[in-house]
Amino acid sequence: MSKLKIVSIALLPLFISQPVMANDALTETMFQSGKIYNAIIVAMIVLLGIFFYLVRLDRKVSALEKEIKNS
Amino acid sequence: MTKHWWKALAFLLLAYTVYIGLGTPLSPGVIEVTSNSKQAGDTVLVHIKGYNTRFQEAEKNTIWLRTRSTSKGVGEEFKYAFLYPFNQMVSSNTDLQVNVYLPNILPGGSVDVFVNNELDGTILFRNAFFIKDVIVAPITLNTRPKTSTEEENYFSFPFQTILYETIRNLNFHVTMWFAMMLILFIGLIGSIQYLNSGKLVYDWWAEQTVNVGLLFAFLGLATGCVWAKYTWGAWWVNDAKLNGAAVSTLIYMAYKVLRSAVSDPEKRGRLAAVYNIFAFAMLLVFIMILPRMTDSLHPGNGGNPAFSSYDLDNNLRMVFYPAIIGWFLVGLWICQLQVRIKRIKIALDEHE
Repeated sequence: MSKLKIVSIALLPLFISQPVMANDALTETMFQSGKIYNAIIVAMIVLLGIFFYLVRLDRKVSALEKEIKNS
Repeated sequence: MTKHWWKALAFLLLAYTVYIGLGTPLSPGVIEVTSNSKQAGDTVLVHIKGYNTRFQEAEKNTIWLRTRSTSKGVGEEFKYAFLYPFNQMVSSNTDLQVNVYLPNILPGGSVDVFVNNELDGTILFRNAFFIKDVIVAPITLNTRPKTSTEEENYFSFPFQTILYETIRNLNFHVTMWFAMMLILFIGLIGSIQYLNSGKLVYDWWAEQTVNVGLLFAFLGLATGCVWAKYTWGAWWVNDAKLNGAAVSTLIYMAYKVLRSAVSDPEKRGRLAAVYNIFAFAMLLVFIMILPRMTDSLHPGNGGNPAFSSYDLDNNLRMVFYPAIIGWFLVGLWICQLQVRIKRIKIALDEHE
């Protein structure tokens, strides 16, 4: 299976999920159940992943720049 | 490490945005008021549903209903009538029931509900229900009860009907567009500098800022669509602000098409720079000026209170501005990487 397919299948629930009625969602809020901290951790992981990727890219580019200077 | 400080700052600002932006609770509010009857002359049972409220923990809840006159030219003294409920029943921190007698004659039929206690302060729920068969007349009935102005203050985001918890999207959706504007402004400066000096490095910067600007624009459109679905009920509406944003995104996509059409770097740079200056002007017109001249669903535009007036309170600002700087720095970082890669590529080409 191509990468694109896997990603689009993984993202599918995002698009087919219908907005929940405010009352149902609010009866047990994410704050009262403490689940918001789970959401924060997930968002932090995404953020860390992006920055990790950028730092690695930065290092690779720096290495290439050094190589070009020396050659 | 000293020259990388701003990259670390970007991470810290965005981590702060995620943590405070998601973790801050909403202020207490009322999400729903239901009544078993709306008939004038009846004694009705009103159910008040709170959110983040502490009806049970509070020592004393004071509840009152207010009806408002909507006819013009009514004296201030006849404008409001207040109804006092009896038989208060608190079943949980978020559930409250009261009995109210609805008189036959009132200054208006629309009922606003107030709840006050020493923990939550005073909460107002506008237009809870409309009293049936009420005779509208300029009369006075009771006055606003004396309540303590005490309230427990904690760091919270404002409670807004319809928006509810989605108000925190402000820190992730609106900041995208602000960061895009800043990045594209850097690109505008790059384009002007290129026309002045003819140094290709400015052209590379302009090109990359448009790439990153487009990335932010697409993220802004996507987040806006999701937010719109939950609050307006549709992914997309034919609205001046939304269409303006889409058109300006297309304008910047045309910039990329223009670049790919010319192969000579000097000529491409000049053409692209001139186009970029016009594109930025059009961006300002399409997302800042035109939406303000017509009615729009989107906050901050014609006929609609801006987020900046009372929705964007100081607590939201404490996350909103750091988030903009954070995204902007990340955008700059990506641009810088791309320009460095471009420089390496050109050096390699010369080497061969």
